[in-house]
Amino acid sequence: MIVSNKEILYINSLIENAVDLFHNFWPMTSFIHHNPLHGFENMHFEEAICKATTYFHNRKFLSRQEYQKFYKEGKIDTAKLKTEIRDYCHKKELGEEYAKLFFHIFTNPETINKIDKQKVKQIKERLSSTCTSRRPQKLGINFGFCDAIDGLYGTTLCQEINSKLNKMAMRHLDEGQASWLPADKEKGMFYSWKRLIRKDRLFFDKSLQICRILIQSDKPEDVIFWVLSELQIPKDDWEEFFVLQFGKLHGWTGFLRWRSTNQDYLYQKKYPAYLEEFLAIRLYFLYMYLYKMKNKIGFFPDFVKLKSVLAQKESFLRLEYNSENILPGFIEKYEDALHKNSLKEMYDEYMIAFSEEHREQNAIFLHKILKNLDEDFDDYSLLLENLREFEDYEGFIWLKAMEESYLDDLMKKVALNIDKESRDNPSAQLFFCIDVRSESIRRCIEESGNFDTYGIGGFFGIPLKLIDISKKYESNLCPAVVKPKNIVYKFEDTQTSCGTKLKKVLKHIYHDLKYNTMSAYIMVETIGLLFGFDFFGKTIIPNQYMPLRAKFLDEKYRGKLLIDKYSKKDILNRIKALQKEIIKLAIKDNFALDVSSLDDELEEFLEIATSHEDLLKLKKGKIEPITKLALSLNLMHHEEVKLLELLQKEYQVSYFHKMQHIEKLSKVGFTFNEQLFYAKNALKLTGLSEKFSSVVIFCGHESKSENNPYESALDCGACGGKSSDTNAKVLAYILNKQEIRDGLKPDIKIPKSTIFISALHNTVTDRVVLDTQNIPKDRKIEIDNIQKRLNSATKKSALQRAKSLPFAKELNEKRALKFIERNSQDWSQTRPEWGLATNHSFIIAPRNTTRGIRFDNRVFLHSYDYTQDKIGYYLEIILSAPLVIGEWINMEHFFSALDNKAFGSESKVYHNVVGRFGVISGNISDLRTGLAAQSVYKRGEIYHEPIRLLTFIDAPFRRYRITIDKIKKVSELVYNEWIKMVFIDREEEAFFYYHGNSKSWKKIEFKGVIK
Amino acid sequence: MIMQKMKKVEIITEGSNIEMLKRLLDKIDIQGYTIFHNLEGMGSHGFHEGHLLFNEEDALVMLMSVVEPQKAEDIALGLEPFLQKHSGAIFLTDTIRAKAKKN
Repeated sequence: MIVSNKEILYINSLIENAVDLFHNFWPMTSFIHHNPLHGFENMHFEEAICKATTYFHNRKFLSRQEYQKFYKEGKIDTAKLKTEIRDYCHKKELGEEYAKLFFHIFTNPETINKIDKQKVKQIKERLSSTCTSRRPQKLGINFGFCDAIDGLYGTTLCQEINSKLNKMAMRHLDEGQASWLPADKEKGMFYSWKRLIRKDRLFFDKSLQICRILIQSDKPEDVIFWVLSELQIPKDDWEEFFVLQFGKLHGWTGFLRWRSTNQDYLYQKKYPAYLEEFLAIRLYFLYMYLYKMKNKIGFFPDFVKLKSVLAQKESFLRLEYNSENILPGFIEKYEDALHKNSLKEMYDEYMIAFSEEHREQNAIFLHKILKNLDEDFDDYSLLLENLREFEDYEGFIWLKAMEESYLDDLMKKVALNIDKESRDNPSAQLFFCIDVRSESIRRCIEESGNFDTYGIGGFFGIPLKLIDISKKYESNLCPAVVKPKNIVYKFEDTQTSCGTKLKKVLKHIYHDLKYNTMSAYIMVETIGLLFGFDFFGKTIIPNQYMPLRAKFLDEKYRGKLLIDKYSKKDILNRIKALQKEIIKLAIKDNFALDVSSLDDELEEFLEIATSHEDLLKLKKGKIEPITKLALSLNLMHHEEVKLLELLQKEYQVSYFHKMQHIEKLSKVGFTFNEQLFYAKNALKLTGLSEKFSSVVIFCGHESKSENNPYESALDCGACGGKSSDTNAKVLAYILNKQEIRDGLKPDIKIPKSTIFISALHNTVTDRVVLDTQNIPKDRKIEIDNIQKRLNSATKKSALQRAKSLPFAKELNEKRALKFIERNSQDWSQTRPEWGLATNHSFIIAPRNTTRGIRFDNRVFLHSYDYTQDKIGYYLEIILSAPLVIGEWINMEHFFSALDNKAFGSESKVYHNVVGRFGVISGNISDLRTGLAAQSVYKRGEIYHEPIRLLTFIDAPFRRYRITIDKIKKVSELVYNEWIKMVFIDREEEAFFYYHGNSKSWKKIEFKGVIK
Repeated sequence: MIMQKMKKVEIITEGSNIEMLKRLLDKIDIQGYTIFHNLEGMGSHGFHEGHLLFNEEDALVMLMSVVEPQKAEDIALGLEPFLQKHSGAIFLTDTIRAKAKKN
């Protein structure tokens, strides 16, 4: 069977639609916070959560008890709660008696232990005999072939197929952790798997048509198409069927989805893997398992047959029994009837008992609710129905009340601060990432001296790809929604000590040890001493040991950055120099000759090798060489031709490779105009265009912890889960150039005396270290003084942040710093810092709107001055990237806290690193996505209160509202209520906020919130 | 010059889908195309701003290719389910490819 082009596209279109519901998973080395329900953002938030339960089997909201705890702690305002309940009753056309009842239910935790049997009986009599919500399942999105078979016949097909796929994915997607590689891995996942499965006697039988397709075709679509036809799935249901299949392992699905849209990812290039291949392999196993079931159940369970079986009465009993829901008194009866083949006869008896049992349960439920309530209701059946409906929605009422309470509090704080003036002549201006963790250090710095701070996306508005030549890796340092066009090279400074090679070897061995048990046995003697030190040092005395280790295995070498663009002439010269070196190497390898001194000859030979035309055709019968190089080396004509061919084919010295190098090198660095553009953007975005202080500092940030696969989740989210140190350095370098400052005039006036420097903020310890490498000597004292102030701010901030960590006993400034430094170096620490947990708001405003307010590291702060942005151009930039990333971070935490099993990765204690790109639970599982329990829970209770991002924009509502409507993504987030949007309108002295219940913007005057 | 009757295919989609689209075309042996970034305009999904400086995923792009009529039809019909669920459109136009004769 060969599918047509149209069918190939059709199947892949459906696959794309199906996986849209499952979020991307980035490799953990560059952990990207994302909204697990990103694919649902075109729906209203509430609708999306309800729909997601079908695919993720998640709970829709926190339990009543969890919300009641927040209510008790004062995080939910009573008036707000009552308003939300009233809004709900109004929407459902329920009277005041219901509003009272619901409030009573909310605020009075269930205390009844004793059941009054007489009362229950009376209630039961007033209930109608309608049966139950549990009805026979229909084949569909959350009840597929395997679910149906498992439910009907007590098998474990789902589990077995998942296990096959887990193993296959772990094998193929491995990035260097496994010591054994499957054959033909470089030819793609489907091809490589095909080779393997053909050797599997249990799952490969040449007499079967599907196996013959595997032999004949390399197209996964052929397998998909064939299985769909065999299972007789109606064409209209294909997409739903695909969703069901991908949803069974949404971790791997997310990773494959990410890889398939990142073709330049090193391992995707090396070992391609695509979603249609994953699906084809899954469907192959599904078919084989169903085929095997044929003997057991007497028919091949295709869609049509299975549907008719499920419609039979006895199927309901089978499903009840196999899902362990059957009424206790019927277990033996069922087994007996199954044996006698008389399930059909047992059905009616069971349904009567089943209905009775449900009425009893409903009566008890009503009894508990009504016991302490004066109110009575005429129609208990209607009451029950309303209560059940309310229960199905109540979490949204709690959520909205909690959000409104936070919103009220923030509005009050902002309104009280609204007249604050900006600081005059600050001695330094410091730029920090908008990351919530910058908030306390910014506040402490401002309190420690005459400093002004600004907030900007941690990539400082400069998207770049960093290629670290010494470490041989490249990374995109910008938000995940951008693909950087400029490359910055980082190369080793010549000052690096000569022991680098030894260090590399040791590091390699050390790394290998962590992942490979075999090498641990073999290599432990070689580096026994080092490993012994590491083991004891990191565990017992991390504070003293880690600085010593850093000296020995120094990770932070002094790297230089290549930021300016090469001229065309420079590019050609560099390529020429490189290729000449390669020719020397090739001659040494193949002719054992040293040609270092033959520069002219090499140059001529290089010209020929990299020419567009063939200048050195092998001439028949010719012996004398043509080139000067061959003449000097006494080579024959055929030898110089051979050398040329070798260079072009093996050593990549050819016209094609020259052009490739030119293209690559032309992406390195930034042109003058690009530098000007990015510098202007960074400053204008934050509203700093005049009154520059003598020192302006760009603080990149990173997190340092040991033995933590989630380390990059604690790094800069705006830099794709990497350190933003490089971006800070690049911007400082650009703005220190006089020609750039001249180019920025007259819009931005930077005095000659102003210097720009970078710094690095470690978010675990809150240390901010200035980069003093290129500081003029006469400014050294000034910079030293700033560093001292920063150190004292670190202690204050560290104390505030440390207190929220478990085991932080009686701490003072000194002990707090020691405590968190130990955390960052202790490799048994599962929670070195809280990261971005508890984030709840995003404020786009000048600093004077928020200066002095203590937000406890819960707010993203982006500087912005609308008076410098008449047409809203810079606001659009902030909304379309930093805010979108903020929403991803907020939603990641929201859902990981809401349901850590469905959207998070549960406890780190059971995690194992897989393939060097992710974690699994235990020794085999789906790829675990989302945040670990330790990131959102504290001592088993929710630490991150899940609320949607409360977004404030300090700009006149009527003029700037249009920026929201202009960007589809942002308008979707606002009007579908994935974020709560508020304008701080200084001109009208009021807040304007989008009220979801009434679907309109509401005005609240500043005066109105300050009571 | 060789004149050949062909179809011009223009596919408008969100930036986040462009890699997928390129790969699907590659699957059916279409390797030549031109991509236009940062499109701006109004459609059934609302207004699309074209100059999202730091967000390429949500800005619209257009992929244009010239192919044989049969392949153009395959593309339009094959991508139909995708376009039913995503922002974007496909346009097919009759066109003539003028190919220079090589000596």
